[in-house]
Amino acid sequence: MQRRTDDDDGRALRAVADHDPTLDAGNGTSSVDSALLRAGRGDTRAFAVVYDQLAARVYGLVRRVVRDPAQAEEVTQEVFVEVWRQANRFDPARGNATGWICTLAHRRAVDRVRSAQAATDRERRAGPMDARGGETGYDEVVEQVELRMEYERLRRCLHGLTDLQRESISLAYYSGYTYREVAEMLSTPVPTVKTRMRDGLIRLRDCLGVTA
Amino acid sequence: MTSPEAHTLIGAYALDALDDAERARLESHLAACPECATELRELRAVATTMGGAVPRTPPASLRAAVLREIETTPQLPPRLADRRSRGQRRATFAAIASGVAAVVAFVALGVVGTLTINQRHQLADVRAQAADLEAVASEVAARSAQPMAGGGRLAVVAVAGRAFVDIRDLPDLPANRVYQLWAASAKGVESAGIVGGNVGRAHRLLALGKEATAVKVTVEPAGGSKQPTSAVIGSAPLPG
Repeated sequence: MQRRTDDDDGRALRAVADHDPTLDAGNGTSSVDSALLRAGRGDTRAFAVVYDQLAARVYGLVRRVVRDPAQAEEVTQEVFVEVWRQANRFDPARGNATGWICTLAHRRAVDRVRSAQAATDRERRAGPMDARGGETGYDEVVEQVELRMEYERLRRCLHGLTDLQRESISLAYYSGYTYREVAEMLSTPVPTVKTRMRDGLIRLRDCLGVTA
Repeated sequence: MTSPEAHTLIGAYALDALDDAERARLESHLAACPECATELRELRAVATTMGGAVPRTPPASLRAAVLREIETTPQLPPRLADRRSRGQRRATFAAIASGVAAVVAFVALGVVGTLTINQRHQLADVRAQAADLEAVASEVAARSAQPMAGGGRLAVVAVAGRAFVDIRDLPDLPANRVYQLWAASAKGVESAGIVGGNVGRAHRLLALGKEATAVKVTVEPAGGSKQPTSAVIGSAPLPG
């Protein structure tokens, strides 16, 4: 599968925003939040600030999921245009701008990879699990995560999960598979995968000390 | 979807690992389950942290393309549904009624002459949204429509001093007659507007006093009357 053959992500970790709003522990409205609020009133310069703060994060995540660089650029552009369109629906009381935009980006990336793959997968699904099985994407992610001090805790927390939790979460989030597909890939019953995704995320939440 | 079933799906949902049908079903469940929504927010925050683990600088050309595209992309108006409380029909009506009112007020401001291109797009969006809202409100209202004497149906959806009135299937009247709406209260009856005798169908958003108890319809001479001069052909009570 094209999705898993691209291996240049290891070089990717240069442009980490110095300031990562997601990791800020609730000290009020971040600069990205306030820039997005201004963008919601039609301020294009404020929108440029939002872009500059989050482009690497969005592009990195989208590219991780869709793999193909040209498609990743397309999706990233769609995501930011959508952010602009919906900016005045952003409500900081319901979560920060980074989370809002990241959620939107991930959804778009997953939609893209599923629609792009629907046709080819249908043909392959009848065959053995060769192309899809055995690729968790996890090691790759961990490698990258290790490059970043900021994500030391995430790395540690990921290691604290059971293999099944970690692989289920990783395949779903970083590769865009549905939980049913993940179950098939891991030869594990569907209800088990569903449950492991949830309890794995809960364990991560507690380990990271994440607050909504 | 039952609650335990939905709960086990929240993790997969937070990871965008549901297919479209399950996603839609879970979302309708989430709207009625505050605990689920809290858990979802927390698990989404975990996902967001994971999403930040793989940053990568996009080409500079992408920035230019995005900033160019937004120059000509209109922004959506704030979401009306945000004002809706969960699963409450009445609140839905309130959102529709206040949405229609807000939109009518905006369009009525008459500031069109000084709008920027972007604001014009927004205005077009708002107008399109007004039409959508009116269509939705009409359909919602029509579900509770009651037949009127002599033909036609009347439906009223009322919340917090406002009433959305939908009358339809109206028989044509002679040229010198119109339909007239009335707001009835303990103090008497006040005109609430006229509907042409040959339009067949109309809807109105009325601002009514809290004391109003019903919306009534009569047939009156062209131009309308100060007080009803004929028998009431339709009446819809307002919630107290």
